[in-house]
Amino acid sequence: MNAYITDLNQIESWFFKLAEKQPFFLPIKTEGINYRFEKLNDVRENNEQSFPELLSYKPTLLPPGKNIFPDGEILFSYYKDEQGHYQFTQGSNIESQIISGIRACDLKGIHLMDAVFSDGIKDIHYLQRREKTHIIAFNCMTPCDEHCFCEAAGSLDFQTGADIFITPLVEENKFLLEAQSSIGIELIKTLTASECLNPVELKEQALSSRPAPFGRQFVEPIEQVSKIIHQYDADKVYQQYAERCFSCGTCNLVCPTCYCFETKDEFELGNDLSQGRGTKSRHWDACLNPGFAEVAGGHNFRADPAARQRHRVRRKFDYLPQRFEQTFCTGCGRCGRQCTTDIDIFDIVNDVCSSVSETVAQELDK
Amino acid sequence: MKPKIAFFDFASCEGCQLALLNCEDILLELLELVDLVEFREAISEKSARYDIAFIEGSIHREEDSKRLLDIRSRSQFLVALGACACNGNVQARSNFIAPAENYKLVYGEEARNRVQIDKNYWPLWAHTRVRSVEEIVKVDYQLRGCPMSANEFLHLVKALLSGQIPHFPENAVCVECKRHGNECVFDKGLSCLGPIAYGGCDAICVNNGHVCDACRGLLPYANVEAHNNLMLSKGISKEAIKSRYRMFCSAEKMSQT
Repeated sequence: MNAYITDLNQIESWFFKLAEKQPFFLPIKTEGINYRFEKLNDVRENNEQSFPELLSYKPTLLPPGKNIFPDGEILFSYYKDEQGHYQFTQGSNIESQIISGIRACDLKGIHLMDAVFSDGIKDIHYLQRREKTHIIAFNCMTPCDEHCFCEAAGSLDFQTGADIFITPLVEENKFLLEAQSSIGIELIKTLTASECLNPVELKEQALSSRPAPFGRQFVEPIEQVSKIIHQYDADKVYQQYAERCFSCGTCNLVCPTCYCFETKDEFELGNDLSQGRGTKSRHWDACLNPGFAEVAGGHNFRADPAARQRHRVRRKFDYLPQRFEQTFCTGCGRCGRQCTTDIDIFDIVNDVCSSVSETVAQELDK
Repeated sequence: MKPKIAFFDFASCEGCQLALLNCEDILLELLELVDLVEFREAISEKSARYDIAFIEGSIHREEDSKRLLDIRSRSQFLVALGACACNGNVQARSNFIAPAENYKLVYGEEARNRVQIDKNYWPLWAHTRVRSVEEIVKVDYQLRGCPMSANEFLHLVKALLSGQIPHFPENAVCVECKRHGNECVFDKGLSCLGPIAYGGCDAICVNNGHVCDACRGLLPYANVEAHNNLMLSKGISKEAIKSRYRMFCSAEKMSQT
């Protein structure tokens, strides 16, 4: 059996124990109104705040998957040896880390990134860091805020890929912890808890006590949404949102499944102005930025902001689902929450679906 | 022969050149590779031709634009250095105000009344329009910001010296804020020009708890109308918004406001 029951106090002291051995991240509100995944030890030193609002926190500014795909990551460094040959070394040292307090939507985000970075030519930089990243996730009992639509996007209850998965039980201050991997079994050893003999039953009880529907719902079921997004261009809908879009890329950069990056070379010049030594790093990129689809010669495949909006929506609901057979929007609500002009992918999708049913209705009337 | 690099200053505080002098480690590395032939802040050597000419400052008088044309004709690459050269900077706010009104702002009402009866009292600057370098000569590269960023400077010089094309993404400041995991300035209850302003500064102001005032100028695709509406929705007056836009972006086109 790998299921245990304990309370929040025990979980708290267990987290501090884990944080002594390796970097341990969890969502903390360090300033203002937003949360970030912060190192527990740093927080303890700089902050009086008691234990984080683990179960009620508003999704963090950046999704936890960014810890495995850091901005500015050095891919490799190189130098020219005495024979004039280039020598390469793989970038940064990768140390193991625990990311805790991950909501199911963000867990799914990491799962989708795993799929992308393992597809075709494997991305060793991501995969090596992923292997050394251990995850403690939990099940949401109430929608995090008014932007949540995880149930509609099919990521509520997602628990694949977590080493330990926590479910808050109906009985107050009781939590079910399931160790789902050998690392999880190892980590949970330091937790003070009693073994749980009927996890399935208790979990079912907890899940059925949740509000239904859970968070916002699309006007169509998710399978239908994908078909509509694929089939209809819905120019007017995308245009309407593009009119107030800054093309700033925030929606991409805060998305748990946006993985595009650009690479940058930093080099030192030798005395003969040759590149003797340097590094190649990668930085998060955003397809809403106008320069993203610009190619040599200056042609831009998506110069129009409405085309970029549609591209984003289709990446999440059409293109990537076709390839990986899963919806690439997790319903975390970050893009809508953080857009300064309130462009929410949830609204776009619903508007596209509604505009299509109107079109279909009009055609039937004729 | 080492490539020749020169710095020229026009109407500016020369802060960009000082920002460069502050990066001693970068400069020493660079000086190994180039000949610095004109740099008023540091040396007084002269040269007939330049491989890279850096222009600091905005252009006001006719004689300044002639000097600039002369520099251009002797330079392979001409780079606008800093906000004054790139978009006029704060001094270009005077472009929006009638000369007599400007004069009053500086010297008071009495002086303004005097120039209206005696044209000899007009100072040289009073009738000039503040221009960016690009309004007079072809600019190969812009190193934006008040002051310019030493990292971008080094990137540009290294790229040009080694025969590459320097790359400055035309992205909003928001991109760099997100890369830093900053809380959005609007979430703090403040307002920000980041969504319509050139990034490249690494969001240095927001990283340090300030807001963005677009010292790097407006992006060519800036959705000013949407930004204006956003600012209005936060309860900021039309006048205050206009003034904010003009602070650093004054010589830029602002067709939509």
